[in-house]
Amino acid sequence: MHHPMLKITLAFAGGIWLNNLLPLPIGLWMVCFLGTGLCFILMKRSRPCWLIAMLITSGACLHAMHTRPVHPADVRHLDLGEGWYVTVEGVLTETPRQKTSRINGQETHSNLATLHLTQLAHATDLIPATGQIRVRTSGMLPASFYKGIPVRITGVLTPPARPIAGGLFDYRTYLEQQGIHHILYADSTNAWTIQMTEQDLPKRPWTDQFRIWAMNVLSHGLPEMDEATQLRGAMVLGLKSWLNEDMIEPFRWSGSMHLFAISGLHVAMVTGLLLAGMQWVIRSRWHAGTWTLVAMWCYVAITGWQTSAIRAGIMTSVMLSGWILKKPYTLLNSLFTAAWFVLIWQPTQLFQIGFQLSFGVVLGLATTSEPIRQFLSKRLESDPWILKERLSAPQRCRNWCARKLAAALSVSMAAWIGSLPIIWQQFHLVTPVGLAGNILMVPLAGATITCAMGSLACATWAPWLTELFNHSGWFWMECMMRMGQWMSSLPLSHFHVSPLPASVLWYYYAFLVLIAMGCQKHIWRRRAVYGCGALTLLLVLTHIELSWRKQEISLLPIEDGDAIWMNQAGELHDSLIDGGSGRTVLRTLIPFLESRGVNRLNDLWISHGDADHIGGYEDLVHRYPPQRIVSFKDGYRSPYYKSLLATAETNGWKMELIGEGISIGQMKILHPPIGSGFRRADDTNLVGLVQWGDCQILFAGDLSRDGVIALSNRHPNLHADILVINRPKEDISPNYYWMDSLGPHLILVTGIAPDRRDRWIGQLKKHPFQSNPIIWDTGTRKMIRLEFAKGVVRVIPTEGEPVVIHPAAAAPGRERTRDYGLLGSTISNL
Amino acid sequence: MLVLDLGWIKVFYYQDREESELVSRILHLKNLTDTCRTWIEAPLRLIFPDVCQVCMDAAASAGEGYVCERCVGSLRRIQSPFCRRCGLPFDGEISSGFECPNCHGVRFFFESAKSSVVANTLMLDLLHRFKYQGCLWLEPLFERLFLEMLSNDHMRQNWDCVLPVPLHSVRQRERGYNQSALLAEKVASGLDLPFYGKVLKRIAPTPSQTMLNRSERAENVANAFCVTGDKAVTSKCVLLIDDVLTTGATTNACAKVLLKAGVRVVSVRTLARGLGI
Repeated sequence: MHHPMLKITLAFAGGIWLNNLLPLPIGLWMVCFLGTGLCFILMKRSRPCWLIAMLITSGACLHAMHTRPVHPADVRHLDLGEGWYVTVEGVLTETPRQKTSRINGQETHSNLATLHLTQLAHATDLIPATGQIRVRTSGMLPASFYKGIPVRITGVLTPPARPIAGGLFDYRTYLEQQGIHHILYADSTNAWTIQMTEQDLPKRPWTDQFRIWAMNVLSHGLPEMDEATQLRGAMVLGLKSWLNEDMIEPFRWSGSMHLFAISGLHVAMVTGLLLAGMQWVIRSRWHAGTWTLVAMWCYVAITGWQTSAIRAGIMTSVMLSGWILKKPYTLLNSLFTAAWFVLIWQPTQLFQIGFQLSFGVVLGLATTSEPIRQFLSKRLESDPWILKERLSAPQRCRNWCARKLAAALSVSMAAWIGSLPIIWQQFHLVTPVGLAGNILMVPLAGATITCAMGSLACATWAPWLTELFNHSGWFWMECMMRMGQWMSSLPLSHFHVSPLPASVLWYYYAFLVLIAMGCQKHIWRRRAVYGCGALTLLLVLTHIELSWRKQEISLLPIEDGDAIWMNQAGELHDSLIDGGSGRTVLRTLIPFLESRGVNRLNDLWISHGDADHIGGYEDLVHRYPPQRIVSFKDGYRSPYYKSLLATAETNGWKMELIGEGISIGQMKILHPPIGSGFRRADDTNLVGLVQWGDCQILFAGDLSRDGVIALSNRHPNLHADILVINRPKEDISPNYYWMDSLGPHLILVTGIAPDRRDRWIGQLKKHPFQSNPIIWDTGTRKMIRLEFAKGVVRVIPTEGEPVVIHPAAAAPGRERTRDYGLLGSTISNL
Repeated sequence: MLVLDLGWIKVFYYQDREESELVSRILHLKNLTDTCRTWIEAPLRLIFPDVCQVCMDAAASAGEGYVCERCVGSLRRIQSPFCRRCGLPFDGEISSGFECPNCHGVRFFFESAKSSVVANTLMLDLLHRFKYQGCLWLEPLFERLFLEMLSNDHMRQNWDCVLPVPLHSVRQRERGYNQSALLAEKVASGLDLPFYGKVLKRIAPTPSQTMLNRSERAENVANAFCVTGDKAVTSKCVLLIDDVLTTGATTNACAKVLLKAGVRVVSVRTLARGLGI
């Protein structure tokens, strides 16, 4: 067996995946495991098969033990409904991490901590509880709270929120995979108290102490704790909580974000420096290697046991052990050894993005870097048949450069190939600039890490050298930041993509694993390799083709206002109707557009000028400058609207000012007529009709009483299969009458705040509509997606079952049983 | 006293009982250690699989230096006819001892030089890995090749000690080991001769010989060596071990200082014979 750990790990991971797919009780998996073990012992002839079965069941068993609550007082048994106001007692299992974010130009601080519960008090009940919960607190916690401290916290305990739209980060699943099913929201740091006297408090963990000391050393002699210094701390010590979105954005878009995860690069550099130092001090290979291993694992502990660091630590341990024991190792086998150990430690890691990325990258390196290097070397180096002795000095120099360039490019390309589908799937991002960019960024990161190591090594005996190293490290980090900004600003440096089907990932990595196993060298196995490759390619091409032709409308769940994304066939008429307020643009709209693979905004429609509809335009146009702004010709008095017009004029964006009767793309404008002279903005809300096959979708937005009367008078026979409206207004009864006249089969209500949802939707549902429509709101259903294919419209909510609207079948419903004659005057009399 | 070398441990047993009982006890102990070794090595084989590191296909154990028999077979052993002074192999049939054209007019201070295999592409690759990439798992293979050659050597009975060609201290620090010393130690152990690793010393950090011609090589290593422990080797017949012999410039420079220090005869044996220059 060339890579025995590959088969073992694949079987074990298969078991974990099986338990995730088929969550059987722990006892049953135990029985299966013991049964297969017994068969393994008794049936000597078929032992290899039983061994595989044993590995699968052991994986499933271990995963079940990690994910299912066993203890009767486990907090996961609690059904909290919408949430309980509780006081919890427990021990901090990690030092709280501070997070800083910037909203509307203001910095806000929050803390995240994990607590192991011992007791829970709800109302007057004291409930014994065990298990882990996540605690989120607004404000900055004092440094007296650290790992191992028993605390009491008061707040609202609730299950974590689900993503409001498909494709966005699923925080609940992320936490559940770590065995955390509840999150406690504490209003302020005053809700925290330490449950122990000062004398009895446990000591601060040595890793924390080291990190504090190291950060002080790394900033020694520097004038201020600026971004470059914080980034150095994050890169060398794994202090990710110091990073905010603004800092990491250029690195993310230039494909060099991996440098901030403690991974193979860090561990290899640290180990290399340590080993070189040890070999100078200690001659014995055994002792030098062993002490290096100990120091390397200390580094992994200091950086917070990140999965990628553990993976790199195990792989480095295998390599160093091979060096000590005089045994050869293979990258692939050591990779799967590391995977196996990580999965035994935490089976849920299989579903974590960090684990997948880390292993994907090394798998790419193990399989493709050498063929790429050989391919590039052949093309870059001079004629290989010329004897070295015959080459002139410039030719030798050129060959040396070519070899180094080929090696660097091959590693960068292999890592990119290994991580491409995961980054595509999880971050909806492709970064071609990273291919070449990492050739520059990795040496700069190497220089930064080396300077940091030098700084830490000299701190106690040569502070002047520490200062020198810090200034040098700061310079390299500054270079990295500028390089990242420059690379991310290059055209086509990065682009967003819509997520791939999960099967693509399976085929892609099966393809890489088969290549890694050397299957391409055998005639029969080669077919499997080619099959996987062809299937991957076919699925990707099909996905791109379908995405191109897809017609969909997404109604985003925004508390007030609107944000409707219209994806039409091709990219020319993709448009966004409004965007919501500032908070929702940053938290919901932009992540959603990125997850849909939107790279440019063709049309930005302004339905009307209210702040809850266009209040967040600044953040939106900063990230997505529109090609064209579509709005009502008469304009609005809103300051946001005027400011947006000024911005558009400054940037030279095209303005399309429209009114009733004009069609843009699939949208036909029905209201308001130009020069209508309405005084309220809601009366001049743009109303448009989209015709998908026989199905009519009417976007009425915030249209209020006078607007409804005007629209009814001009379009008395208007019909809509699907009606999209914003939250109902105070004077709702005339609107209901008008809505009834449209004969809708589905009414979708957007922009309802949770506290008003029951009242408004309740009233709407009570109204005796003739067409008996389904009424959904984005507050309950979260994002609602309308897809048009094969003549029908599928309406897919994020929460709940989808429905299909058949316009042809719905046709009889259009025959009105009630007389709506003189609709406009009737409404005006209501 | 009986000494039984079990690889991991050496058993010293004083013969004060019946011989049969002694043998059975020792065998029992050997079985026990073998079982322990199997149990420890089995999981290690999962992490460090027994696969040939050349073809990455066939099985090859640690004892074989992780190179399979088929790949070892593709190494060209040096058999007669070869030059009696520098060991350069020749094709064809030459029954009597002869000197190659390279050796005419050249003064060698060593008695003779011989190599185990020709430094073909595979051997050069293995040596490169051994010297520069820390692939010390190749030691058993090289030891086997060396001892195969030395088992038929007519000088075998004459040697008194084994010496390696030294590395400069700076380079040895960089590399962590001297490949010639590792090989010489194994040879000394195999031939049951004393190993003197520190008698010969490299005092000049000479540049790599790979880009130099015959005369430049000789000039490069002239005055690069000295002898530090004269008494240990005075009037002795010395076996000098190196990894590759190409022009013989390095080993000749070593032999020269050894003879000057009072050594009676210097024989040079290397693992591979370069045919390049």
